[in-house]
Amino acid sequence: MDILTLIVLSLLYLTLFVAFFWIIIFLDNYDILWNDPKTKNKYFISVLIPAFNEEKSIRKTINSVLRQDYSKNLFEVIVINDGSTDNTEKLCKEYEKKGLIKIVSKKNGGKASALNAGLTIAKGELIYVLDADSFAEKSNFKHLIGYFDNAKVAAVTSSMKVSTKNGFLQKVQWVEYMFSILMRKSMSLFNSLYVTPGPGSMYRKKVLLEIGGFSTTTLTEDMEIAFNIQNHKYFIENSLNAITYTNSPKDLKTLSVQRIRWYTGFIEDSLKYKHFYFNKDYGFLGGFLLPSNLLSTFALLFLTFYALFNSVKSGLTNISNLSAIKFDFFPMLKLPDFATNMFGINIFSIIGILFLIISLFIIYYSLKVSYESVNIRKNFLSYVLYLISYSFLMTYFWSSTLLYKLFLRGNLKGWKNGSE
Amino acid sequence: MVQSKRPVSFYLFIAFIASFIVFSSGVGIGLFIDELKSASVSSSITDLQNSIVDAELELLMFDYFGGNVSCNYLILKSEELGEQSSKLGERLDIFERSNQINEEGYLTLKEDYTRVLIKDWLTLEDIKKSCEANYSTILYFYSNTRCFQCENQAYVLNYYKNMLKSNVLIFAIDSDMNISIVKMLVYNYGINTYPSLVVDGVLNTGYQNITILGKTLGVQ
Repeated sequence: MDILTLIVLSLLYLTLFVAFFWIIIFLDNYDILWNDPKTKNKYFISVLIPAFNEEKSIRKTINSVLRQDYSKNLFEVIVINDGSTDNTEKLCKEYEKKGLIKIVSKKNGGKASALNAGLTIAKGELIYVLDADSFAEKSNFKHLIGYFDNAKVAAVTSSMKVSTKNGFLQKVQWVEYMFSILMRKSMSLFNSLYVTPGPGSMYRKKVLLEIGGFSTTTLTEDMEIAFNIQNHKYFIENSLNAITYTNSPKDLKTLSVQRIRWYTGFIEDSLKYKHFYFNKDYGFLGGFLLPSNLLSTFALLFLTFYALFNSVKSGLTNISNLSAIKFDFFPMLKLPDFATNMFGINIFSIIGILFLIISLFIIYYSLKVSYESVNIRKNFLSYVLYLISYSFLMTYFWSSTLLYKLFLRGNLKGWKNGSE
Repeated sequence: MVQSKRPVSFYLFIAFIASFIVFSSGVGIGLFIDELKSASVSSSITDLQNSIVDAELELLMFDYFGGNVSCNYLILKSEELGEQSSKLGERLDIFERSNQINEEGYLTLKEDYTRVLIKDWLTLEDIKKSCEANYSTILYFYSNTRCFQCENQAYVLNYYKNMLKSNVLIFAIDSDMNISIVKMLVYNYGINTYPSLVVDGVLNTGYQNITILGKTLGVQ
C-alpha cells in the first residue's frame, strides 16, 4: 500500500468517525431535541431588522414579526435603514405611521453597525435579530424565550430553512440547510454553537452590551458575536421548533460571494479566537469541535482534489485514446461483461457505498428534525444533486476562500458590497 | 438548558468503536473481494494452462496421425484460446487499475499469467504453421515505467481486436516483469523501445498508429 492510499484511507476513517459521533449523539438524545423550556416570565423583546436595499422583501419580513403569537405589548420592532438607496425606507414609513414599527435611519456602515445602532434604542430585555430577507414563523418567540430563564444563556438560535428551492443551487442549499439544522441542535447539546445566524437569533441584551455589541471589523458578525459570547463563558442554545425562512442565492456568482464571505469570516474569527483551539477551558467547542472542523475541511479538500485529479487524468487518457483511433469508437462498443466489470470493485468502492448509506441516513434525519416530509418522488432530484455536487461545491468555495484570503483580501464588507 | 444525556467522552468512545468496526468491515470486505478476484484469476490461469496443454496434445496428435485430425478443429481451438487469454488479460488489467492494497499478490498472479500467455502464443504459432491458418499473432511489448504511448498503443490494438475478432490474436507482455522468459523474448527480438510489436514474427519498433497498424494487418 503506498503512502497516498494510506493518507486517503486515514482521512476517510476520520470522516467516518466524526459522522458516527454526531449520529450517535443525535440518536441518543432524539427524545429531548424538541423540548423547549417553558416560562411564565414575560420578557419584553426588541426585534431588530437591519436593512440595506431590501424593498423586495422588507414587507414580508416585518409582517412575519408583527404576526408573532406573542402579546403585542411585549415586543417592539425596530427597522434600521442602513443607508438604503431604494424604496426600503418609504415602505417602512407606512408601518411607522401606523405605530407598528420604529425606524432608525443611518449612513451605510454595514450590518453590525446597523445592529449596534438598533441596540442603543432597544428597550427589550431580549433582542431578536431578523435579516430583512428572512421571515419568522409566528410561534418563534414562544419557543425561544424559555431558554432565557437560565441566566447563563446569552443567545438562542432558531432553525433556518431556505424559503424557495427553484433551480439546482437552491435545491442543494435546501438539503444543506436541513443538515445544518440537525448539526446545530446536536452542537447545542454541548454548548458548542459558534454561529448565531442573522435570521432569527435571540440575544440577552445585557450580555450583548457587556461584551461590546456586534463587531464592525469582521465579515461575519453573527459568528464573531457567538465566539465572543462563548469567550465570556455564556451559553448559546438552539430551538428546533422556532423556524425562520431565508432567501438563498439562486446563481453561482451570488452564492460564491456569500460563501467566500462566510468562510473568510470563519478564518478571521478563528484567528481572533485562536486560543479556543485545543483548549479544554472552552469545553467541547475548543477541545474537539473546532479542531475537528479544521480536519474535516482539510479532508474535504484533499479527498475531493484527489477524486478530481483521478477523474481528470482518466478523462484525458480516454480522450487521448479516442484520438488514437481517430474517434472511430463504434468498434469499441460492446455489451458490458458483468463478471469482468466486477474486477473493478475495490476497497474504495465498498467505503463509497458505506458513505452513501450514511449520507442517506443523515439526509433522512435532517428532514425529520426540520419538519419536512421525505417525499422521495417530489424531492428526489434535490437529494441526488446534493449527494453529487455538495463536496465539489464546498471544495470550490473553500479553495476560492483560501485564494481570496491569501492574495486578495480587500474590503469585502457583507451587504455593503451587495452580497448576501 | 437542554443538555446531552451523557458526557462527550461516552459518545467519543462509542463513535470510535462503531466507526472502527464499520470501517474495518468495509476494508475487510474490500480485501475479501480482492481475494475472490485473485482466486478467480488464478483459476482462469489454470484453465488456460489446461487448455494449452490440450491444444499441445492435439497438435502432437495432428503430427502423429499425419493430418488425420482436422485442422479446422485446431483452428477453432486456437480461437478459443485467444478468446480465453484475451478475457483474462482484460480482467487482470481492470484488477491492476483497481488494486491498491495487495500489490505483491497481484504481481505473482501477473507473472503466472505472463508465463501462460507466452506458452499460449507459442502453441498458437505452432498451430498456425501446421495448419497454415490465416490469423495474425501480435506480441505487444509494453512498459509501465518507460513508455509514454503504451496506453494509446493498447487502445489501438484493442480497436483492431474488436474489429477483426479471431483473425488477430494479441499477447501483451509487460517488459518490466522480472521473469526469465520475458527477458529472453526481449533479448531475442532486440527490443529496447516501447511500445514494440512483433506482428507475425516481424518486429515493429515504436508506436504503431491506427493507419500504420491497419496497413500491417492488411485492413487499410
